[in-house]
Amino acid sequence: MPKPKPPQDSPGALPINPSGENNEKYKLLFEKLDEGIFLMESEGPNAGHIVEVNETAARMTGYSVAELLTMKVTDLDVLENVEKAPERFAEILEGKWIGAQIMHVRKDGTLFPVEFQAGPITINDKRYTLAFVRDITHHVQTELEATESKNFLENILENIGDPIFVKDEARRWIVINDAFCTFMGRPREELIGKSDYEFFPKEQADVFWEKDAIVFENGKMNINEEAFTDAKGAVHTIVTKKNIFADSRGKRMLVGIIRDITEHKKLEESLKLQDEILKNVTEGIYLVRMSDGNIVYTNPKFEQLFGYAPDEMLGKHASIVNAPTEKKPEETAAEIMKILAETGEWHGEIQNIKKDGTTFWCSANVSAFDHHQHGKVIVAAHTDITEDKRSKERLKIIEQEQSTILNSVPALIFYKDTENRFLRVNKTFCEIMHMTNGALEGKSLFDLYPKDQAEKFWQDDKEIFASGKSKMGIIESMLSPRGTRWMQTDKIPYRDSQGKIIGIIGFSMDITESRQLEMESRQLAAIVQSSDDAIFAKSLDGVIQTWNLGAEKLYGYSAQEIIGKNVNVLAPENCKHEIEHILKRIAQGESINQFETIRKKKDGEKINVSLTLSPIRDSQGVITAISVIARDVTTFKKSEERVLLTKILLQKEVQNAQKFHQAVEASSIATVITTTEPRILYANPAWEQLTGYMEKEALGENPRILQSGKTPKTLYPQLWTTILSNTEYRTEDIINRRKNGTEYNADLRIFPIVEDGKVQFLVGLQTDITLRKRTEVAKSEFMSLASHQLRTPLTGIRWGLSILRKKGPLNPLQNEVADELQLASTRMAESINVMLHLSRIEAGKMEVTKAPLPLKTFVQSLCEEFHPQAEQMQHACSLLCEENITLMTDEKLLREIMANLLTNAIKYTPKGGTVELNAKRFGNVVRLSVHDSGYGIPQDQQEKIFSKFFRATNVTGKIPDGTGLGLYLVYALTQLLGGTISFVSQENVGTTFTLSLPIPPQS
Amino acid sequence: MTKRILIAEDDSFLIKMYKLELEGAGYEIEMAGNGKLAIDAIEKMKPDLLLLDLLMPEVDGFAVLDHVKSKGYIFPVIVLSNLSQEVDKDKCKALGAKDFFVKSDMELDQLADIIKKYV
Repeated sequence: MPKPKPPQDSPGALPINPSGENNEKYKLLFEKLDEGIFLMESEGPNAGHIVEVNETAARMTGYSVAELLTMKVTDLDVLENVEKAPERFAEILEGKWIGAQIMHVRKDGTLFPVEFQAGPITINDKRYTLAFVRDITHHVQTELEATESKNFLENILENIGDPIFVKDEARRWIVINDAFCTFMGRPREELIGKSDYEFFPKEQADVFWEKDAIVFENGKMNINEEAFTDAKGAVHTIVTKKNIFADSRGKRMLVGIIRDITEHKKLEESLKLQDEILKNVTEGIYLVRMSDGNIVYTNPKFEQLFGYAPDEMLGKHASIVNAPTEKKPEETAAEIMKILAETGEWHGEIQNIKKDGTTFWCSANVSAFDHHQHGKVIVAAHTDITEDKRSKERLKIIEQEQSTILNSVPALIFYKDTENRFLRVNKTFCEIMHMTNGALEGKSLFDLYPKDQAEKFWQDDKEIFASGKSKMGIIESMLSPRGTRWMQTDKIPYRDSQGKIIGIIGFSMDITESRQLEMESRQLAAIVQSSDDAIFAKSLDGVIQTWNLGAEKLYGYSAQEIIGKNVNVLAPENCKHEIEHILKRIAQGESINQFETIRKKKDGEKINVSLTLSPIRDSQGVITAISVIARDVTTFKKSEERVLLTKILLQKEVQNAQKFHQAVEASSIATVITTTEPRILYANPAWEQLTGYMEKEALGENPRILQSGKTPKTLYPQLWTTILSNTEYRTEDIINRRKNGTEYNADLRIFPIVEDGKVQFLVGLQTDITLRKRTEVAKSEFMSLASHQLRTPLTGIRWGLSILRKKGPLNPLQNEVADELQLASTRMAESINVMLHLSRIEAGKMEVTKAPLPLKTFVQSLCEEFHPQAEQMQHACSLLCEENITLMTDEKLLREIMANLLTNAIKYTPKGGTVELNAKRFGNVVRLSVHDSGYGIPQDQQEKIFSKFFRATNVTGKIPDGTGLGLYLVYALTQLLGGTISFVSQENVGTTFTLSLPIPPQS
Repeated sequence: MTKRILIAEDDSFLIKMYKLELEGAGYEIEMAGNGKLAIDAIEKMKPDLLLLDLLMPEVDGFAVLDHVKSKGYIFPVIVLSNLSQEVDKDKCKALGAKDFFVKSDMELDQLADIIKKYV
């Protein structure tokens, strides 16, 4: 909350702002600084008051600078920091600079994290606190995001045995696994956040970065073979697979997986070397320095072949071995050199010449390499092909020796010709295929493997034949008698002496074990994606391999107890047959979606499940396992059954509706169904007849078409309020107009129909009450007129009597007559009133206005009213109200009832009797009983006492003035009030009338 | 000053009774035999109180009430009629009548009290 600003000489002045030419510069810096700057008073009553802030502070907090200048710095703090503020100020006053990360509150009430530094500053001998505040929202968020991504990745990496690293775009290692640490020979903490340059020589790091750049730029996977020197100085050959991915926030990262193939390479190279040596040892070999073409080395065989003495040829030109043909020896040598310079290799047959001048044909293999001493040299191996036969024998020996080496290698080595036949395989190959060397040699791919697999291998081979290039690191599955094996294969074209490709040499490593790890992580990933359901994987023969928490929950088995078991255990007896069927379908590549069946939990409970099964394929598309997602649909099933039941009920309702429809059609009550707009949706024949409109012309119309304009205006709003609150509405006050213009009075009833919790439709029923209304009006008018006509002469009689008495005096006889006339005329006036009253009740015109009525007060008022009358008759009169009860009733009507009962009791009890009124509660009703010790009602007349003009025969003589309408009125009024009236009477003992009225529930 | 009371009543016997009842009570009594005469009398004498019957020939009591109301006269009007329906009573109240009595239910000696209440 902004506080009143402390008095200040120059508001907005910048006390820390130095004067002079740098003024503007400082001001700019002050405003543009990325940090909020606050200058506050440090001591005194205004400690904490902000006296200077910059724009950044305003932007950060959402307050304006002017607003901030009226506030205390603690106004920006969350409560817990406000409490710490005095402590902080004390520290600053001691001369300390303090800093912390805290939460601040913006003007709009939102919180944001800040980092602040605050310390003392003295300006004009006054001590202030200067604070620099930085909004670290972004920083905190980034850190959070990074932590999240990192955790996610680390989870994945835990399971993988190969060295894995993740680099951010700055090429820093942000995630590495244990294998990577081992590979680098350094603990994790030394590596994280660092890059290649800190561990590798510049040239090597450059290479790594160049490759990274390719991956980042293309966004494509890159596989590279690289040489790398480890911490101990050993050189490794590594294959690095790099790929790019973006986390959920689009942050690009590079993930690399390293496979150390040093051993593999060594083996390969030593094989090549062996091969070279073995090939060359029986041949004449010489080395020629390329710079001058002079011979720098000859092996003994070479000297022997050409008839020279040891070392005699050294220093001579290489061409001395070439026989002069159509070309000069020098020309031949130059040609070969040229080819060598271009390709590094030359194979061919060449006519050579011995020292003694004899010429002979040699097969020569010439290749170029760097010699440590002579620089670029060529090595040429010459074989006298005149001695071919002998050579072939030797070759056999060589091959035997080669085989020994090949067989000792734990990798699969094979040689295939262009016809796809295996000509040579090593022992490892035989072992994995469970076949002997003899049985394998000469077989084609198609003899050994299923067609689709053989096709795949053959495809690789064909590519090599076409391109002439080696294919390295092919990862393929291979079906062997030991099951599906994962092989990483290098295939190298094998050329004959003319350089023509005559076959393929293959070198294959079984990587099934590491491959399985990868597969598992793949399955795991799938599970991570959808964790709510029971998810597990099983092999193609039904053995459960993985089992998630959802599955534990659903089936009751823990992963530990179920993995390795057959999925059969989950099926109840009658469903076991499904399993085999399902496995078969999946193995064929089908998916099964939401297959509903019954499964058995560990505790034997049966559950309805919906199963979704899909084949898990490896990268080559081979089905290796099955994923199962199971969902408990037991509750769903139940609700489904409910839906079914509802449907059946609905059908029944439709049938009922049809019946209703027939009934409504046949009804004589004009019936219309409308929307709440309202638009007519249906009208029955009776409606057509009443209104004169046909249903088809009324459809879609507003029922307003029937309005005559004579219905009281206040009726319609009342009607709508009632029905839209889902209450039935009934009125007899409607005057409608037919199509032909004639009018009629309608008794209208409207029933709202609720659907989906809302009044959607209205059913309107009308009957024509014109005749009844007319009769009623006529009767009312008649009664009104008749009573008036009766009353006018009666008034004359009564007033005349009054004048007679007034102008008297009358003699005793005149007096007596006058009394009688008075009595008779009064009775007549009462009778007229009662009849009018009744006619109103009968016409339904008596309005009942219910209001809370305290019974005790009411009874007391009756007591006051009737006590004089009772006293006149010398009755013992008691009126009792037991407890204070509040009635909800029409006081006027109730008073009329009670007055009638009390008057009767007083009147029809001989002088000196008792009259009692008792008001008592019985559960939900109040009973008001009027008891007298009067004449009573003769037994045989008791059933008639509430009928009009009834007077009991035992009193007509004694009490002449009675209209016979009192109890009839009591009865009618009781009904209007929703009560009941009863009585007990015995002639000459007394009578008790009991009025029972309901009490509203709250009282 | 003597209070002037105008009584509108078409029944000649009742007119006589009114006069007899009120003579010597110290009021100046004017009688009108129907609504039309009553309106004329109102304009002429400006009464302090009007006792008004409802059903009268030519112009009825409702029209007289209407006239009094429309003219903005403030003297009280007491209806003394033999009509007793609520609608009639309500109509009179709406037209400004101060009270309503059913003549046949009323004793003539009550009249003095009623008048005293309003003048």
